[in-house]
Amino acid sequence: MIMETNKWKFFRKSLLPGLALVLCFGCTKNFREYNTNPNAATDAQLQYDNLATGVFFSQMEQNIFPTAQEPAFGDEMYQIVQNLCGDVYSGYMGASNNWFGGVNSTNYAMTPSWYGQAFNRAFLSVMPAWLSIRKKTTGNPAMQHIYALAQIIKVESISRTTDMYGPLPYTQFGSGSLSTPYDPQSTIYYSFFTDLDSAIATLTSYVQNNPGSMPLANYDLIYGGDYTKWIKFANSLKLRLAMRLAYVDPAKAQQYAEAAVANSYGVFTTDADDALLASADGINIHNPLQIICYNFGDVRMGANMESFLTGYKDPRLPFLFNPAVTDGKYHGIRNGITITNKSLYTDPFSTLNVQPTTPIRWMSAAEMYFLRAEGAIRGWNMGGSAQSLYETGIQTSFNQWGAGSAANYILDSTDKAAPYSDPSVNSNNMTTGLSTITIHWKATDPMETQLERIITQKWIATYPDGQEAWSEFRRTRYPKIFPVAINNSAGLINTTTQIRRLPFPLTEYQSNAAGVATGVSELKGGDNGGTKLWWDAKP
Amino acid sequence: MQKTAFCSGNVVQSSSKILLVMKLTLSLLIVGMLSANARGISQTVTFSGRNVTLDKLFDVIESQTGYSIFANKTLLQGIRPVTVAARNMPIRDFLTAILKDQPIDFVIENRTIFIREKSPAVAMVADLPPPPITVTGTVTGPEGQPLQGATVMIKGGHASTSTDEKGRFTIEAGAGATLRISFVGYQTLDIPVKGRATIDIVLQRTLSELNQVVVTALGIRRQTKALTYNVQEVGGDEVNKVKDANFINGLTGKVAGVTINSASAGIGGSVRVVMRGEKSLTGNNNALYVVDGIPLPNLTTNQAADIFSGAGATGDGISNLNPDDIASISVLTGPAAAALYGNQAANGVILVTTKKGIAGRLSVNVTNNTNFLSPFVLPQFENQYGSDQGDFSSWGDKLQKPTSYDPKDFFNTGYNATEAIDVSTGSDKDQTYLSAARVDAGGIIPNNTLTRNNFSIRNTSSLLDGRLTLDLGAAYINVGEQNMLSQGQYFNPLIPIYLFPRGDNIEKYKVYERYDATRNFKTQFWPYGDEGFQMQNPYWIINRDFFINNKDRYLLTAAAKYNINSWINITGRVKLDDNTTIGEKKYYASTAGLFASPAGAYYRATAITKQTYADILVNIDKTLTRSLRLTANVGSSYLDTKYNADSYGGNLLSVPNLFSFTNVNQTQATVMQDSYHDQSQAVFGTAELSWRNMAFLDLTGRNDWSSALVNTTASSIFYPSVGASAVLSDLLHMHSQTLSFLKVRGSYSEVGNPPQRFITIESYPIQGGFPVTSSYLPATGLQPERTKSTEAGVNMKFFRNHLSLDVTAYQSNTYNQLFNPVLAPSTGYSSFYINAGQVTNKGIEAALGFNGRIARGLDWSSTATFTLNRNKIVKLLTNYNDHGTGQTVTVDSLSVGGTGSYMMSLVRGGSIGDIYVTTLETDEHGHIFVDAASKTVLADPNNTYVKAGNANPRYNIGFRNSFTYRNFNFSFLVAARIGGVGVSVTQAIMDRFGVSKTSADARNAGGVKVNGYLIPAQPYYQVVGGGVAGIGSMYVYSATNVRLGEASLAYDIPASVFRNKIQGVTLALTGRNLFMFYNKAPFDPESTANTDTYWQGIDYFMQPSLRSVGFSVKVKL
Repeated sequence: MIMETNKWKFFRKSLLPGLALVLCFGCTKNFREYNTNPNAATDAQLQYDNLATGVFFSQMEQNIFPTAQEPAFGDEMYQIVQNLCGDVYSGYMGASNNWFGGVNSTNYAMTPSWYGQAFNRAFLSVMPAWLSIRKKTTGNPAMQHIYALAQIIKVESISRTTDMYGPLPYTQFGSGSLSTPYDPQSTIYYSFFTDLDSAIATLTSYVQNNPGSMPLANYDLIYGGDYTKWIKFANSLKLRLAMRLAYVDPAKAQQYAEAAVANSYGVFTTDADDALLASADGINIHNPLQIICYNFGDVRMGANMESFLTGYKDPRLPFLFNPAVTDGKYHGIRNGITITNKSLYTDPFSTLNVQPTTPIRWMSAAEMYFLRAEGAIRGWNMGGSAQSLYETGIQTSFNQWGAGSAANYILDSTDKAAPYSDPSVNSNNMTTGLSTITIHWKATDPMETQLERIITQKWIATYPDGQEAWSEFRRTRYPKIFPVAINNSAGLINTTTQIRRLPFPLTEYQSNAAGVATGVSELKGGDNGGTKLWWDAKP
Repeated sequence: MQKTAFCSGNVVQSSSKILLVMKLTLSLLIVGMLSANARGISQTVTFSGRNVTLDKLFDVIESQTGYSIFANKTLLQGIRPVTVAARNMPIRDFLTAILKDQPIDFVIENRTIFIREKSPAVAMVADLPPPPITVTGTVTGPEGQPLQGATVMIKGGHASTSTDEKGRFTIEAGAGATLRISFVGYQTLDIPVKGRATIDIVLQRTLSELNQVVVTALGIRRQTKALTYNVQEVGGDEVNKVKDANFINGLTGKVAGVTINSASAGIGGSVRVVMRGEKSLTGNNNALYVVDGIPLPNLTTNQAADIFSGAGATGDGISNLNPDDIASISVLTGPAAAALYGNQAANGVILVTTKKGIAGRLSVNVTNNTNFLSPFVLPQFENQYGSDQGDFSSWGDKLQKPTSYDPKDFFNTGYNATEAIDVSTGSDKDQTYLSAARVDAGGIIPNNTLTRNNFSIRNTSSLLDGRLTLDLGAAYINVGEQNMLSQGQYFNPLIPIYLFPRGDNIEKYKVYERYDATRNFKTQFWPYGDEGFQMQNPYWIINRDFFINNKDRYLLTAAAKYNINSWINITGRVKLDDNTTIGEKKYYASTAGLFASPAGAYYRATAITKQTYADILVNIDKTLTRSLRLTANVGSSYLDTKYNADSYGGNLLSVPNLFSFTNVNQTQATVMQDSYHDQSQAVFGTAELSWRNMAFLDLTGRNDWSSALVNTTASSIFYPSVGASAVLSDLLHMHSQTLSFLKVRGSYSEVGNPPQRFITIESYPIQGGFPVTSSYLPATGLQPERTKSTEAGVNMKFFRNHLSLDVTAYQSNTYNQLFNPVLAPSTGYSSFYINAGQVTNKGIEAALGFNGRIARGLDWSSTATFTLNRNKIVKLLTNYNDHGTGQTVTVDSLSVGGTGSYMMSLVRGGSIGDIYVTTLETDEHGHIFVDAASKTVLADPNNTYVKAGNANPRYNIGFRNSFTYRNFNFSFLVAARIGGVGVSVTQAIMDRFGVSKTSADARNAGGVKVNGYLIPAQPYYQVVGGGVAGIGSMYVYSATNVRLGEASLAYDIPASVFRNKIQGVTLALTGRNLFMFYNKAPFDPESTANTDTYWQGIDYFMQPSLRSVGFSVKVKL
């Protein structure tokens, strides 16, 4: 009976309240709380501390050069968007792995899961953040400076994206439509200048009316909210984009380039102006190249870099690359080769001299000098002579790497790109078709030679942003980059003229078929890597 | 033995009523749990006593023999006490003795003694015809209700009468005559008059085959006869006959309407159970598990759905259960009964009933199951051609003598040893069941282990004079899993093992680490690099990259049942289920750089799921009129699930192989927290109206308030169902020698499904401490997903129930599907949620059974199941009008993932599970294009996908047989799956690397003949096996297969052998996946890497399925 008494007590004390719980109907008032994701911010929370406008800047800034976005394997995004694309096509770096049995985008078998990612980064990470900022600032004159900054960052992002694909669903983005038509690249480019001019005007007016005010200091990873630096950035970006039109629309190119240089804030002139993405404000930026090179073992120095830098005995070489483990010399990998065994292409080749904390450089002052030098040889008013701008550009690059004085280097009129030999597979060697351009400026050289000289030095200075270098290679044909050793494009991409663009993503064909059709119709050829972009118009 | 005087009567002995009711209940439970192996009576009874009641004697028999006695209580009314003296008397003799001259006899089946009415042939016959007397009396039902219209006749005579509205009758009968009382829907009863003038008779309802009762939704027991939908019951012994670490595998081939695929993750892996086809495009399609009436939380985790993942897999929640605790399993393939569980049960329910303590002597079962495991289906490898120095592929010269390297040697003989003990004890009023089990298993891949400990206790007691029944249970489960692998590139030792260059010597790599002088410890030795497949030294992977899961689970259950009066009782239940899983990943220093820094990497994730379920149920069983009976349940339930998961980890910063958060590189660490709190509250009711126990009408309704419905158009969801059945054999008096039973049934039900949690309230995910924009368009105006189902069926039994046939045809229509189409990135969102999409399923499930003696002493029982389902995507998104833009959008196809060469796609007019593949370039005639000059084939430059087929079977057949001869039982199961396709990337990659038998055969033949050209093997296979997954169309295989799924040979050693010191020993040899009669695929088509809806029919270096051979010993103390 004692046992039964205990059970009865249990029944009364534990079970009955439990049953009573069941009878508690209509207790659904907590349902809204339950159905709100506790690990995400609500709209209401985003109103605190101006988060709704501020945080999306860091989202935009972290996705132009993609840094870690996903748990675990975020660096793969940078690898796909930047490294296995522009970094390789520009000759800066060589891929040391043999994905998909060695048949992949690096040797022109365009891999859909790779070439679509840059598009996704721009339209799923940068543009939605921009759109959120636009929605918050529209109709509020006091917030136009915020929108102006968003516009500048947007142009930085989309200019890189359009230089990969060409036409993009850009000007009608965010209209609420589920299917967005594509704009021709010319429309996209001309809108860049309008947007930049408007942003420069808005920010200039804000800075003049509110000196020292930095409302986005907590969210801006590039300049800590310093609008004057952003105005300079906008002018520099405008100069870069203007130069892209040098062959397709020379008049507009000159107009925008001269306006950029002539602006009261001007373009970058010293390293201190450079736009750098680095850890700040609680956000850790880990340079993905370090992971890709050292952890993944997937990338090494490019053969062209070896050829130019060893040929020129370039003092910057040790700041850019490390000697190979096996023989202590510098060895680069040629792009577009077939790798049967990864280990043949890791230790015998030079790693990148990059640390986890190395900032990601969006744009540099050195690049500006080379752009201005090119403008000068085209007869534009660039605020200096071609030679002085060229030489200042080299020295600025040396400064950037801490490589000392470039005085002797600038005078070198004999050294040329060195022949290339692959320590693992001899058939990849290059002894012919090498660049013969020298360093020393000669005012008497024909313009084309001067152009090659400027672009070759700019190519060295722009490292490691292969995306920009690839764009300038396509525009100017310089420097002379080795062709792929194996071309798996089934005839779509010409080995000599090299890859000119990326195909539109498969996701667009699946979910925006009507839109992508308008994009294809704007192309000068088929939707493949062999078709030239609008500005790719050098005769 | 002395006989006492025969005395007939109908006095209900109230003192034994409770006991009998309990005994009946217990007996029902026992039916399912008894070993099916015993046959042939050789156990003995020792007992002496005077004027002992039969109840007492039955207790004695049960406790001494372990046999269960199943007695219909009315049969025992008025049975006289007997005097008996027996010593080691065989049970059959003992029973014969005590039942001699009683109006009952017995039948023994599967260790269960069924007490039944004595057959007419041996009924009492009077010696001399005494003078007729007038007999009066009443005929009532078991609840005391008078039965009007019952027939009372003199057996063997002509006189007959029927009862009036009070159930009264008057008839002239000889004093020695026997009255036969019959009434439609009730068991016919013969009562000897024995000179009495007044005889009151209680009739029992007719139950086909001795009170067949099954457990249905909410744990409600229902007569099989009354069911308006299909319920299939499988006994615990049948499921466990050939033991598997996840007992759900033991259902394969044994129930119709169910497709079961086991995960390729080896022992203890998850199981995919889809009933009557996949219904939901984006939601869950797996069956719900319900244990003792209470739903189990869904503890499934993300699974491999791409070419990379698959390492560190884990078993599902149901695999935690101790198979030995299972009394029986009911499978509700349709949603009719499931309407009571709400949305969770839209995909069908597997109801598990666990064991309880049994009154009587202490009974102890000790079992050991040991199985040895080997790979079941492996691809075919080559050993004739070597590899060039330093080259990883095997396209080198023909070897002087074939290499001895065989990838099969990599596999261990796996083992799975289970020790289990259960103890049952108790008195009439208080029974206790205790069990403990331990599983120790090692997989075929070295270093893959599984351990599991189960403890449970359950106490059932009867209080307050039997008005209150308490059922309290507690269980603790601990599971440890190490290195479970299902498929994929990452951490998969099978890739380097299968592809290993045949010119090299694997022995070199078995020493997987070598001393590194600069680092002062041993680092990985694998000069080949990752080959683009993230390959590492296979022996390094299994010894130095660890995936360890540890699960602790507590289950507490309390149930109380209170009988308010004879026809109404109230039941309340509470169950707490608390599961904590800790998953760790430890990658040792020098693991491939994609996964770890030079010092290694460490990740630790904790997931806690707490589910509280409570319900209260009022059960009514009331006879309304003489022929109308109402069984109803009204109740409410509460289900609350809290989930909280967090993880931290990353590359190690400085100290190699120190796996601690303190050593993780904090700047690169990944931090994750994920949590939710779901709650649903429901009221529900069921009503079953039974007319003369021959025709039934079944109504259910449930209204669900669910937290996920916030911000949708509905605040709650109502699920109705209606069903009807008629036992035509009784209604139309169709009983004959041929037809024993015929029932037709039909039901209609609606089930709803709320949208996914969180999506109706816009939120901004936080990444690295900062909010980012949402990836989906905010969902507004969503409606719950609905499934409308109808089913119709027939249950037939022939030849005195020896042959049975159950056939069900069904169709379901799932519409308003919550649909998550991919948006063009140019919209700024990757997807959006809308109600669209409609999927229909229709099919047939059938079971044909035979049970009987086919030769002297040889019994055969056999069941064949047949499953056919046709799935159709009626629409995806048709003319969807976007509110924002006024644009009309139509989506007619939707990719749901793939490898690039293999893709699952949802296409309007197609089916869920359709597989599309890439092709080679074809010429204008559709033949494979061969470049005449270079003699090469090319991948289709347009990347067009063609449909290869569907991953689902056209139909499944299971054929289960059991033969019993004396103490031997032999049983086997043949499982066949007809139709469906699968794609083997494994074969493609093996072809490309020149390690497959096909590639060697092609080289021996001088090449591959394509479109009239002989193409050299190497360039050919480097194209068709190239890329990430080869050319899909070249690697599509029929998934049709026929296998010997299970076989067992058991022998019962009777207790007498042990002089009754122990109650019996059963020895068995068992095997699973023993033999493929037919299979053309280089993998097991029933194995799947993913137990969700998609990523089916794809073999990306899956772990082979397991063949298991073993033995079991069961000792009953």
